[in-house]
Amino acid sequence: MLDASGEIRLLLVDDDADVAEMYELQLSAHGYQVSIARTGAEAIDMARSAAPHLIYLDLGLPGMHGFEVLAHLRSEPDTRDIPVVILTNFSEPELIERSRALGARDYLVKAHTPPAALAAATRNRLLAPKAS
Amino acid sequence: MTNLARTVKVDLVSPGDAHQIMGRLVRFAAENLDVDRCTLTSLDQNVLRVEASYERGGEPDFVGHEYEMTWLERQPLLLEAVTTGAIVTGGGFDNATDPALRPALLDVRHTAIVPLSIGETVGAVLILSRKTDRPFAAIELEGLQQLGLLAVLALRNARLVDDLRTSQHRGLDSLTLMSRHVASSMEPAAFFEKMSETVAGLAQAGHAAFWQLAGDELVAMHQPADAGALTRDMRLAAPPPGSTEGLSRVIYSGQALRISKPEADDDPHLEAVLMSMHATDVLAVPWRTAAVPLGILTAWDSASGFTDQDEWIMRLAARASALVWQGYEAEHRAADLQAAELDRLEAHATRMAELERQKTEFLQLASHELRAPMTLVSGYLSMLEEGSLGVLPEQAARVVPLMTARMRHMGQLVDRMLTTSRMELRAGNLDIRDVDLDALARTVSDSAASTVLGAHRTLAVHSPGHLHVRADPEQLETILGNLVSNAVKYSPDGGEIRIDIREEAGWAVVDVIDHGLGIADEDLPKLFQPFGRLQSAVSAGIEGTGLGLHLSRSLAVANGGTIEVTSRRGEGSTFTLRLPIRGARQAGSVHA
Repeated sequence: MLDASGEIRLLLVDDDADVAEMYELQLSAHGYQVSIARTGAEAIDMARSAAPHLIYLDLGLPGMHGFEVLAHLRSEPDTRDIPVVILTNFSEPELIERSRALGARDYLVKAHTPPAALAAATRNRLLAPKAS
Repeated sequence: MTNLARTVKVDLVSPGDAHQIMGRLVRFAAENLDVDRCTLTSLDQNVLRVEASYERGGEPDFVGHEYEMTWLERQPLLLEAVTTGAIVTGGGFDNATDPALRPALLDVRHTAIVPLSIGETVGAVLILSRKTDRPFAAIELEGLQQLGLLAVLALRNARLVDDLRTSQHRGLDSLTLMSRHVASSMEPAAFFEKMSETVAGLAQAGHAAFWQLAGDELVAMHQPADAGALTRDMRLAAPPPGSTEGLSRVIYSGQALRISKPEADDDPHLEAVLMSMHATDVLAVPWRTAAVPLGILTAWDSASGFTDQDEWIMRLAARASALVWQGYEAEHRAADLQAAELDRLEAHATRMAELERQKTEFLQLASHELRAPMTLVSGYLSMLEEGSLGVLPEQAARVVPLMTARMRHMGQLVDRMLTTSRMELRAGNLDIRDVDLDALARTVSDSAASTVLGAHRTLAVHSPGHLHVRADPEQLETILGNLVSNAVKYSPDGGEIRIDIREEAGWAVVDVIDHGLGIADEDLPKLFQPFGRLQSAVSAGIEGTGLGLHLSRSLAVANGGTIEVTSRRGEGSTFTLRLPIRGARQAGSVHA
């Protein structure tokens, strides 16, 4: 899963720049390489070009809903196998069920996921990156 | 005369055998007076009819034959007797007029005409003729006039009885036909059309129609079939109440109006009615309920003039139709009222559902929007607390945990608001299953023990172990969880909390009992209201959202149950959840 450099690339998809930056701050401090996409279209482009190891995907995105992005990623050979975890402030059971059905690996509620918890979740899911 | 009457045995009462009497009379007269022919001929307005006849040495002839009145004018003897009412004698008849009569009248040398008068009118004549040269003597004919009169009275009696019988049949037919329409529960238009057709048939009229009073007009309820020129305009002018015009008396005074051409000639109003209906004659009767004039029922263009009986039939039809009309009106009003009430209720329900939906949507959106800033603030607070953002000065490091705690509470509040709105949205759409109350209580109890209970409180479940209900398990868990969490909060100083499960007259009853602060009487009404935080709770520093009990009661009601509370300040509270156990599977075993 990791490439030769030991770099772990994360793609954070969130239209709330402040929240994205906060998570990036914590994840970067843990050595992850974090890219941020603000819209669904951007997320798909970046998923293709940067080939991230893991994507954190918000649902309430402007223009293209998170589920559309997820479905799109699942439909393309290049992005099909990238694990996606939903990271959003919606918590309706129907949404959780739907995201599972669309192939999301996990569902995290932002309000219940402080930056340290996200870093821990990332470490559990992947491996810790090599110290840079 | 007395002898004659006795011999003839005139029967004036029994119906039906008038012709027999008359036959006997003419035979008796012919034989006693030695005549060759004797006939009894009745006269009414239009015709002469041979009612009985005697022919010497032959069978009775010509009985039932009818002759037009013009025939009378060519028979001077007959004409004289009919006009004067006196007995007339003379020679032969004019036998040229009717070839059939010729043999009978041939060789007649003497004729006597005995007019039989009822009141001032000659109703019949006895005609006697002799072929021998023997003139009639006055004395021979005297008694005959009275005897003949008796026979004519018998005839009239028989005719009256026949008429009565016909009327009875007609009346019965009318009633049968009308009651068939009345009982048929047709649409009003169809009913009045059928009834009019029936009336036209019974009254032997060309047309009949109901006209409804509408202001100063009478409007036809339907188009009579083949109404000719009338089809152009189905309205009549309705004269005002109190007017002397005929139609006004029909509408408002309950009189009938019978108009024929000759009568109408002298009365411009009546003529106008005939003209506007293009009719030769009209019979109009009132169509009204006991209290309200509805209009008129008319028949027009009769076959042979309208009679009292026609009027009676039409009044009957109008009366029956008024009752039917009242029925329609009442039904209509009831249906209108019902429809209006349904509309009102439906509009109310729609409005309430819409408000409820808006409220829920607002809560969801608000909760979600609140979470965004909280995520940021809580996130950075946690990073500050962990030192990820560098070392804080001592004073700053002291306040960060305070802020974290408050943010956590705010997070809980938002979570509860979200849950509430989601549950309320789902309340109408339950996932009904068989729920084992004992298992449910133990799940809730275990969950509370590991989270909110704390070391200084105990939580016990008392259950018969076999009670099941049909309900939404997730919602029941929310209800019971809320009640337990409430009991915990209201027992800040510790103590026992109990969940008691029992069965009571078809209901499963779950009591959640605490021995904590209790609730002041004045706070009880606010208890189940949304955001109904109690003064006592606030002053006691008990945290809460004010949504838990509101949600719990809504969910209990949605599952067919209730929640009630009994409480005493300083002694604790008992919240009682009742759920119907109808239809649920009851386990036979007792829980260990």
